[in-house]
Amino acid sequence: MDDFLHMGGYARFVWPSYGIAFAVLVWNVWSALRLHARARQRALRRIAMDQSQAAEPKSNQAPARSGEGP
Amino acid sequence: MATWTWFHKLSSPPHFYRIAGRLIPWFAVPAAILIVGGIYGGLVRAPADYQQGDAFRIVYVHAPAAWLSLMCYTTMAAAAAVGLIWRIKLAHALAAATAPIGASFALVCLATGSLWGRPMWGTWWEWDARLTSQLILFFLYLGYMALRSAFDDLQRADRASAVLAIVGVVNVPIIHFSVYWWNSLHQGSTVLRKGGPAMPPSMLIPLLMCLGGFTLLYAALACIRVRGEVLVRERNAAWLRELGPR
Repeated sequence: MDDFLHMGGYARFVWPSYGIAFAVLVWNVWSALRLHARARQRALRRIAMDQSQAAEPKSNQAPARSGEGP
Repeated sequence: MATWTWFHKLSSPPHFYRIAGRLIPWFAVPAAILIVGGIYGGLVRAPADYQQGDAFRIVYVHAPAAWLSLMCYTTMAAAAAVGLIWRIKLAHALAAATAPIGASFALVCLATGSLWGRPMWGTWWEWDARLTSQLILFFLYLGYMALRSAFDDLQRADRASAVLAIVGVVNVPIIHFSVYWWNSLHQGSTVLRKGGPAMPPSMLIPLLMCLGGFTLLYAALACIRVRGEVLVRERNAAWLRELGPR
């Protein structure tokens, strides 16, 4: 096992190479899933908002009142 | 005719969204098996190189990363050209989705190459044709992504970045042939060369597994990313209302 980890004296070049490759691989999977999840969440929220706006009857809208402060 | 109909159907965003969702596990599972198997074969089963010793084992991450960085750029430029010529939004989405994947693997290629170069060539970096053209490829990816993010309007971002992607593709053959056209520290092709691969099967098979695994991984990642891009682009599409749990 020690021989394997030692990599014939090249451990400090071999293992960081694999470490970088592994980190980038994990980042790729994570960032792709996050991109899709966020886009999906936004799309679903937009759909829900559109539906609630469409369902809201116009009569429910409060009339504008003058003379009221912010 | 049937092919064209199929292609036309696939280029419709809702159809692509569903198909890509189903394809992801078919790419991801073999990719994981091939990468794990290839890395195991390369690190454990393959014998040490007679000249480079165990340092040659870096090839099992370096070469697939280099291959992906070139393949991604070619895919990105081809997709950008299709998007520009035929105004297919999905093609622009594929180009945009491919850029960060390609950039990340170009970076892995440069970093692992540097780690390999130090013990073999005695230097971390040399302004040699292969290394410099690969660095330019990385900057082209960064430029493409920066240009896209400079526009608020997606259509303008698609068009402007497509031109950059197409112009930059000239760098791809330069990278590949640089080791033959100029004196380079970098070795020539190991797998695709006259007279067959310069490796015994015990070294070559794990390398081919890693190359195949990384390619399938790209396919899985591209499917996920393009699905995300489609959702961003199809802001008012009615089919979004039928979004299932996936």
